[in-house]
Amino acid sequence: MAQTSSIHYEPVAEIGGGAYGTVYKARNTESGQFVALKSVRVQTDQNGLPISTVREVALLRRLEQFDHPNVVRLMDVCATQRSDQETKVTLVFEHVDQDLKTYLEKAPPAGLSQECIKDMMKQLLCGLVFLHSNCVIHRDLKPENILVTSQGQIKLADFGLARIYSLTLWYRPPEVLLQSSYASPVDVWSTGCIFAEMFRRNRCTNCVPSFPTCLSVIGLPSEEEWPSNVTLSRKTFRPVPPRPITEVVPEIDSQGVQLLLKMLTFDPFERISAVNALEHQYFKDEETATETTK
Amino acid sequence: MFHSSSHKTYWIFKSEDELELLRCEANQKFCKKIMETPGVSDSIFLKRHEEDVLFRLYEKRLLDFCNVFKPAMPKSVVGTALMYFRRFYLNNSVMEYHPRIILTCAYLSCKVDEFNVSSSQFVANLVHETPAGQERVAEQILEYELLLIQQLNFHLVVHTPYRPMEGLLIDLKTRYPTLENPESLRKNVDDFLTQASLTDIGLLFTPSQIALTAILSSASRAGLNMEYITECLGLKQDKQNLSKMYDSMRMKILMKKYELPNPDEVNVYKQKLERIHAEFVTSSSKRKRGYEEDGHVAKEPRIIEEELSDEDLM
Repeated sequence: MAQTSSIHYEPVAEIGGGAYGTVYKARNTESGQFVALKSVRVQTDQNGLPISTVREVALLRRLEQFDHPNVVRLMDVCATQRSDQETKVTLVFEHVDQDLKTYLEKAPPAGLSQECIKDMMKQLLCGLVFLHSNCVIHRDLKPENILVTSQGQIKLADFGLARIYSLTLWYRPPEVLLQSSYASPVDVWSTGCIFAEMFRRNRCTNCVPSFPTCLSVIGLPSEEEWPSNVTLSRKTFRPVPPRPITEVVPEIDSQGVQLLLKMLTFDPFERISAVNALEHQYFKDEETATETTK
Repeated sequence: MFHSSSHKTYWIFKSEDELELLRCEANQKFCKKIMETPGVSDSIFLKRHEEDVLFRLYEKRLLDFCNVFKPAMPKSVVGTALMYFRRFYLNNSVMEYHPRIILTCAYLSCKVDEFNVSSSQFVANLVHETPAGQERVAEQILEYELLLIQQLNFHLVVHTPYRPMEGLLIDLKTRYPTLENPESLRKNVDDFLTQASLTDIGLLFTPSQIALTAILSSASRAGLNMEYITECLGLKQDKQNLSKMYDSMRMKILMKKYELPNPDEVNVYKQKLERIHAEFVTSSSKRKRGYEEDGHVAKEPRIIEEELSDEDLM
């Protein structure tokens, strides 16, 4: 029965923050269960709560019904009006102790095994396919927003109220950096960056994240590939040949190279989709390998 | 989409009895809370059937307001607004929250269904109001907005029967080539769906069941060959399954039971309601405006009645 409860959540510790506000680890005072509280301050005007907020919260509530294993579970939504101009919307998520960033930092010196990377990528893409099939673009995929349970289960987080968040520079695709229009391929680019990071266990470049940096890996695209609806002309950048992916990510196998290149394709329309990435031979190899050992 | 929706999970019920039980609980909960005040007699409260009369009055007002709205409000938006109103009073009593929340239901449904109108555009439809009155109503609509969203438990996506109905009409057009004007069914179908939205049908049946019943009812009234219609809609194979899915009798009984409230009764109950709201549903303006008072998050509605008369609305 859909009835509003009077559940109280008591903050236990601050576990993070961002453009949207602070994240707390909290305890449900009734059940004792730990949750993650993410508060978003929403500006209200003469039209009340912004349509975008209303629709996105409704969408989160709808997605919650699917209970997808690779998407963090929204358990509750609370809202309190702080003043006539501001409402605080608090999203109550299941609490997962670590994110991918911490997980990679804690990894043994030898790094993650190929099987582990493959399994995590598969889960990440499963979560992404689910979001995209429900018309949700994450827009801010990064290791800090990918949670890893103690059982090694990957869960995507922070895809709600996406318009409020600002996309992290390191994982921004060219179309965002060039301020062109963008859609679900933005998430695939970010996933590609994370894929490479799983091997390297650090960010893909050592300098400031910028458009020229990303060109140093994929090379300067041709005139035909360059988007027409952007202010920056192709002539602004000096021609750079693409660097071999194996130079950037030496441990990656040949199928992994192919998949990564497809994910880091400059043209978003040519970039592989999450659903097609899941079907890539890179993941099939694992299946055939396990079948032959049976 | 419907099968994995919050609508199906939380807002489809097994029987009318279950709905009545919830409404009785909401009524009793309010009465019990007020009875804690010394010297209060239970004769001042609205009985369940009296609440129902007022509910139907305001629901009809909501429908009338939406029907004359400029620019024309899409039917799905109207359906969503009516469903919000019905869901809200499943767990709340009209004695606790005044049914003039109807306008907030309509305003919120416009937002959720992307029928974009500003609050000033919205209240401009209250033609009997002065500009100052419209501004006051706009304020009240927004004061209720958060309360409504919370009481709906943020389940704001409503699946109305209009989309499946369009699909069924397309099926008829493509599979019943001898049917001269399938669009002629639309008027009766729309009437059926409007009438159904003023009953508990939307809380008991799925949108596709309601749409199917509307189409079959309209076809039957138009004197069309029902055997052929059911075949066209792919329902011929399993008559038993069809009757289970169709379940038209239950819907028709619910629709027959519906009657507009008696004006004499309305006046008596409205006076009772206004007295209850004047005496018991007041609080500090701080709480009324929903300001945050505590350090931790609590899921509790924090908006209370605004003192606006009924005439301010209609």
